[in-house]
Amino acid sequence: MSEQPAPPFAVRLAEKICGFAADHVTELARRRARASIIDTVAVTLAGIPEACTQILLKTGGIAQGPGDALIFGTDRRTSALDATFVNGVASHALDFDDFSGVFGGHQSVPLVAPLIAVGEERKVSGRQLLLAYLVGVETELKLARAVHYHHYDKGWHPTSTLGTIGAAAAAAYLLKLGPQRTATALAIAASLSSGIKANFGTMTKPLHIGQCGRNGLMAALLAEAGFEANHLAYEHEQGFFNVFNGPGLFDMEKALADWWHPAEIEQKGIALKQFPCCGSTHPAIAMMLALRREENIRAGDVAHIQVLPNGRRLRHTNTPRPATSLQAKFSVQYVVGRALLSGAVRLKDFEGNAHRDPEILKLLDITDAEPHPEMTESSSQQWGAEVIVTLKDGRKVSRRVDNMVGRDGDHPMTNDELWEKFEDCARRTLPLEQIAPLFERLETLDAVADIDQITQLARVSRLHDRATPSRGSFAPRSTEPAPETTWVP
Amino acid sequence: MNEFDVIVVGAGNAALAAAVSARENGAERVVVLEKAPRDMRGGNTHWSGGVLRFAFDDPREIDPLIPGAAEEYENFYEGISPYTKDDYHGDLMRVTNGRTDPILSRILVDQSKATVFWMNTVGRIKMEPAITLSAIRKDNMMIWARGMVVRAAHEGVGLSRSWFATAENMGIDVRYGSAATSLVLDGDGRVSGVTVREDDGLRTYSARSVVLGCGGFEANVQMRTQHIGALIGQAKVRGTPHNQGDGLRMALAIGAMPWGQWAGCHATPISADWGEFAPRELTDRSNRLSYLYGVMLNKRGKRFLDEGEDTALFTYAKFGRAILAEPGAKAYQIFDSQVVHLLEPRYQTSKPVTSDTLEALIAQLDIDDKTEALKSLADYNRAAHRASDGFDPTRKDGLSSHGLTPEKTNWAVKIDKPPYYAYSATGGITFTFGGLKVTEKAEVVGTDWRPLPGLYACGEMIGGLFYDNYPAGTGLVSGATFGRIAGRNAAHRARS
Repeated sequence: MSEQPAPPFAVRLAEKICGFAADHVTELARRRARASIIDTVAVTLAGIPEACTQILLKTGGIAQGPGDALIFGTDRRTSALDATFVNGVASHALDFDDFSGVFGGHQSVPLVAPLIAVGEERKVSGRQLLLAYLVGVETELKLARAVHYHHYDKGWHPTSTLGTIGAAAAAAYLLKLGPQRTATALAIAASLSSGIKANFGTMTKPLHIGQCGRNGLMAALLAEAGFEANHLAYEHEQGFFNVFNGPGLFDMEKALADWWHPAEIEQKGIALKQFPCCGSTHPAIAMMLALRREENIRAGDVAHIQVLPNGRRLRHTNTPRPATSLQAKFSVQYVVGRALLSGAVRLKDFEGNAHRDPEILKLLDITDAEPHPEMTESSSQQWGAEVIVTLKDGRKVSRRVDNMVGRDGDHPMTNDELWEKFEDCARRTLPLEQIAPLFERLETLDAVADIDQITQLARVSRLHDRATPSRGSFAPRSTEPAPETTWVP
Repeated sequence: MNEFDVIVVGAGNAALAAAVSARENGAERVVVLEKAPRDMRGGNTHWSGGVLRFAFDDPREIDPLIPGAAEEYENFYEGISPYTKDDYHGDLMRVTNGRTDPILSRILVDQSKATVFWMNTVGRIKMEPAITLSAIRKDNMMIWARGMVVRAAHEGVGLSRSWFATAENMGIDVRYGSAATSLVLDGDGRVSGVTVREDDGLRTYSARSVVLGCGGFEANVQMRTQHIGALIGQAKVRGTPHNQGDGLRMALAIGAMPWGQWAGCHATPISADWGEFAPRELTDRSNRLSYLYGVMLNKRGKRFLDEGEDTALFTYAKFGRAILAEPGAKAYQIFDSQVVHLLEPRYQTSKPVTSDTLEALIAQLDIDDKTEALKSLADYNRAAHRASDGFDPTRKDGLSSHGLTPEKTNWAVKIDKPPYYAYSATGGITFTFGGLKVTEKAEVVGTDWRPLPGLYACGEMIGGLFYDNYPAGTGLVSGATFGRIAGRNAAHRARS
């Protein structure tokens, strides 16, 4: 009796995907998935006005086909594929989305845009969307374990290369394709995967995200409709692993090991970005906010601020006098001062002349930044910072964290902090009255019967032009009695 | 030993004000029993506009509530007229036709400012200028309307979120899915607890004090029909489906006295696109109040009221009921492209039927007599004016039709510029006015005119404040004022 050869990789992976059931989901996984989905919707809304998104919306042939999927922050509807493309680009436009060390990239943005777009067309529930998202994250991070860090170091952009496959997996799960067609979707996705790091720092980095989500969704839609692909597309000598990594430079079995034991999303390396500036400044901002909150200090009380990040974090963020709002994002001095002054670091702090605010300039005059003498650059903990504030009354107060890579599993964002970020991001695009209801609906995603309940709150109708008053002037009160409001409760 | 010092039934603005106040006043074990699950929590507060009407003498007194507003808007405080306690009380008397409870209304007005500051400092409720709804635009200037300057940031949803966050930070136990079914009395007839139905069955919680803050009966079709009448019986519900009159019935069952206008409610025209309950995520944006810029047709294809009689503020209440009296309790509001930009932004929560011809528009509508509908529109267009004849959407422009029954007496402009738009409308109920009799300490009074020991009420459960109508922005301030009083007195009783 001859031994059966192992089924193709795509089929084995498809079986893992299709075998996922709601009872695999722990409360922790559910909570973290929800937070990441909320966060991704937030940064998508923040990214809509960005140039890269707006160029897409003006380019002929993009998002002009008919369909029921919403482009966030507009009242345009188009195909799920094109809505994924535009919303996906927007979601990464500011590089303000969540990330994972294992993945070497951003695990949520390839998934959320296609799941919402096709979920809206197919009228799926919030619970189904959440499960599909978890499948996508698990697929992405398991694949990363099979190919990293060679894949990353070679120059591939894993968010995009692996994200394409993750998006195909998530969409296939949402569309309930079953193992054979899911394997086909994965095999199609292997051919559509792309993205090189040479384009980091340009609009083409977020373009990768729109494209990978769109390609992943397309792979699933084609497989659903009976399209064909080679199920050996991964392990084949001219397949994904050998072509992208190279013979001997990957470990395929790692992609299939330990599914849901525990779920990748439960690992501590998954992190949200709390502030819209360079991640290297975040530990120092967090320390200043802690001082402000716990010691109740205000800018007027302060005589001197000493910022001591790990030297590796300071090197590219040591900008004592930022000259542009882009430089302000890479100025640990500015963002720490802003945290003290405003109790928050928000998107508007990097717009216009916010970095030249006279109150900020006063703080920059009394701020010094140096590498922390005790935090070594070669240590495994390179994301520490200490902030020491000398008060005018002579008291010294300080806070220190030794390692904090974004808001990771050891430092999760509170619900209030997530709301603050959401509000800040959504304000760029949505009318005020839709922001809190949208957050609330996403917070209770499990109870959403139809994704349309979410997207209708992300839509901006032309009737809103009247609703948003431009900053205006008030007429002085007159001797006549003030008029009644015309507003009806 | 009681399990709790204070039990609060309900989890809207009034109930959570009561819970926070009880905790602030020394009650250690405070529990909030929320009948709804987590995703439906917060009562009608979630649906509210978050407006807070309160009395002030000098507009600058408001500054601590909305720091920074004066820098953001030119002439911010110079434009606000003082709104004295007498002004506020006068408005309450005027809109209730003189019937508001003399004692309770004075408490509400006198404490209104202190209540709002308490919401801000102790309740940690963020506030913002109520510009989008209170400032009337004229040319390039905005004119402040009277008495409505401040709202909760992010409206009712933000208000609800803040209350829950504060309650949780103060160590108040909030239980979802816990539906109070009856009040428990001890051997001396004092209220000593509440029986609730939870997922796993019935149980009883005990406490020295119980505060009822669980709203009116607007979501209960039987009570609506019985107390307000058959028309409102068929209304759609704009707010929470959980306000079923449970608290009122529980209190009446132990001898509480009904008080106020049980036949009264707040109701407006709303979209008919949804089921019995407007979707939660659309909050207060179910209203359809821009009928003055078009016409309304019933299912027989006929106009049935003077859409231009006055601005919506003065017509919405009767028009909501008027639509309910039409066949199928339904009407369509018809607009053309020259007025569609004037519609309230709330209209964007439903998708209009549109067409380039009136014939094709009417063909798509749930109207039984389509020929009659087209005739009504043709008759209207013959009797109406061109916009260039003096149409002015900012005031009653006197542009009246001639020869129609009924006439349209203002804003009667021809509907002849395609594309055309149709929005459905029906009557929607917001909240009910009938409630319980309470003392100035928010103690519930029995039909023997004595307080029922251990029982307090607040929010929409208090009867006697509103008759026929209420001034916008008063509901939340009343809820928080009497919630605060109820919580304080409940705490004192629990500690005595």
